[in-house]
Amino acid sequence: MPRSHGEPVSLPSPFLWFDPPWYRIDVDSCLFLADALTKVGITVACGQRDLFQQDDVDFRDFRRMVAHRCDRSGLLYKDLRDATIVDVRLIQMRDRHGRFAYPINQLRRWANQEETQVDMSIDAMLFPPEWISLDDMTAKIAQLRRLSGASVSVSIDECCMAEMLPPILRARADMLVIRTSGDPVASIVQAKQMLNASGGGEIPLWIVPTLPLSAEDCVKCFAMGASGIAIDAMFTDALMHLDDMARTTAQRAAISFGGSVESDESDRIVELVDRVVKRFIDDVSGFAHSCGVGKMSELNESHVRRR
Amino acid sequence: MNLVPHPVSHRFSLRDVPESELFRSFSLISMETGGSHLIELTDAQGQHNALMAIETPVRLHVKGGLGHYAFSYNLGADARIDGDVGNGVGEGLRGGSVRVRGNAGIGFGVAMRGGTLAVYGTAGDRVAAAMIGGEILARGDVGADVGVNARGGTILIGGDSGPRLGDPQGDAIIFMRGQAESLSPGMGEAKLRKRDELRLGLLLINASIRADAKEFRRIVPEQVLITEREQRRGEVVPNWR
Repeated sequence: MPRSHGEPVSLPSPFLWFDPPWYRIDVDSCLFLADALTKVGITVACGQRDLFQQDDVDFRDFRRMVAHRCDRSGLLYKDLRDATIVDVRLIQMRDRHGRFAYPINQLRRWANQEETQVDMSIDAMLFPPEWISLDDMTAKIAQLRRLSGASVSVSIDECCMAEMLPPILRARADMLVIRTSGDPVASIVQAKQMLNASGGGEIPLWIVPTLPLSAEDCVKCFAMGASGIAIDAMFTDALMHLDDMARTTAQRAAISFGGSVESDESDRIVELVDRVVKRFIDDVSGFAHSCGVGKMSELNESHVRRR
Repeated sequence: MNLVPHPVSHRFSLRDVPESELFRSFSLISMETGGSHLIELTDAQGQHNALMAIETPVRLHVKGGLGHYAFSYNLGADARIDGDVGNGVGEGLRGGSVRVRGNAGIGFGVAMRGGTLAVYGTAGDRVAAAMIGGEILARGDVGADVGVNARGGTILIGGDSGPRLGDPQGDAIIFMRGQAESLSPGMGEAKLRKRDELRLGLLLINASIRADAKEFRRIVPEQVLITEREQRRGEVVPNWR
């Protein structure tokens, strides 16, 4: 992934887990899961507080995206310093009630507090409070480049492209992430047209589809200009149900007697990731190869059959 | 915060010395002196992103104003700035202290986690937005939406504030001397409690702000006031016999 400053950043694959709800699973399992996904080439978005209960732990050396949300929720300085990609996240996920808010247990995870059974959410900020306008994005990206050696991406919703793409290009972000709501191919085409018209056609474009994509859909997206795809819609639910995976009788007995099943837990997670995610990535590669290309980056519009 | 002026032990120009070299010098000086010597930084002319993420204990006196995001993520510096500062100053402050002897822009202290931020002039909108901890003091007036999304920490306002002061979703404590144009829905005013007077007195002394703690009021979520009233009703009345 080229950058406007510094050496290009190398990512192992064009797949990303953009907004994992780490708070929904046990913190001990989070690290195993992040590790397993990294090993199959997925770039994972996570902060120190998502995966560890202590702040003095040295983060493992794997490539990760760190979310710089408008209110900096979940963000430590250490995350900025150690990140591969810092994402200026101008989009906000909705809670289960449809509000732009953080579930209380997500905030408690970030604050190193025990989870609660209370069902409530705290409103999120939707615009950085120190900005007057989108033009302040330039100052923010300059700040993040001084603080971190990471690439800086900006993530937006597709409905805001017309308004936000010009300041993103002026700010010289290294990467653009667009959350799509409908057909991602249509969104990619529209984004590429806007970017080319503004002279920013070279910026890597990643998409966060909100509907699951098949392996063939992914190949179409790459062919139409996407540099990367988030796997959230495809796999978040499956990856969050680690507890549903059957344990062996011996493992359940060990747990009930207070025994450690750490190595078995990590094996379960690796098996899940291999079964669910790695197989999908292999299918995508298979489809791409069937188009006669050796690398995903060689895909282009001519590989998409027009009916 | 020491009221006795210290002699300057080192002097550097922010215009002429690259920041990497400056930070190396801070580390060396701090190792030699334990961070007790005063370092003067000259030629401060509104530079953006200045002096961010200082981890070493150092005492700094910045002659002039700084731009946006100065002293973001600071941990070790105890700094005084003789001028105005831009937006987002003190973002993510983790420790130490930063005192601005001028005016501050928008988002002063955004998402700070610890330490002390003080502005002796006025500050713009959204002071202490998304604050998690630490103390922020504004001797003059502040703008709108102070403390929006603040989840913890202490905010002290010597002057007046704009509309929508406070956020009832969080636990930030606001002490105010002047008048708020309006409070956020769900916020209420209350007199100081004894423990607040003591704490506020210390804060004012530390910040070298001449004021009597009794001049301040608390601005807290109404739910907190309701809880306090219910707790008082449950108290034993000494002369019940």
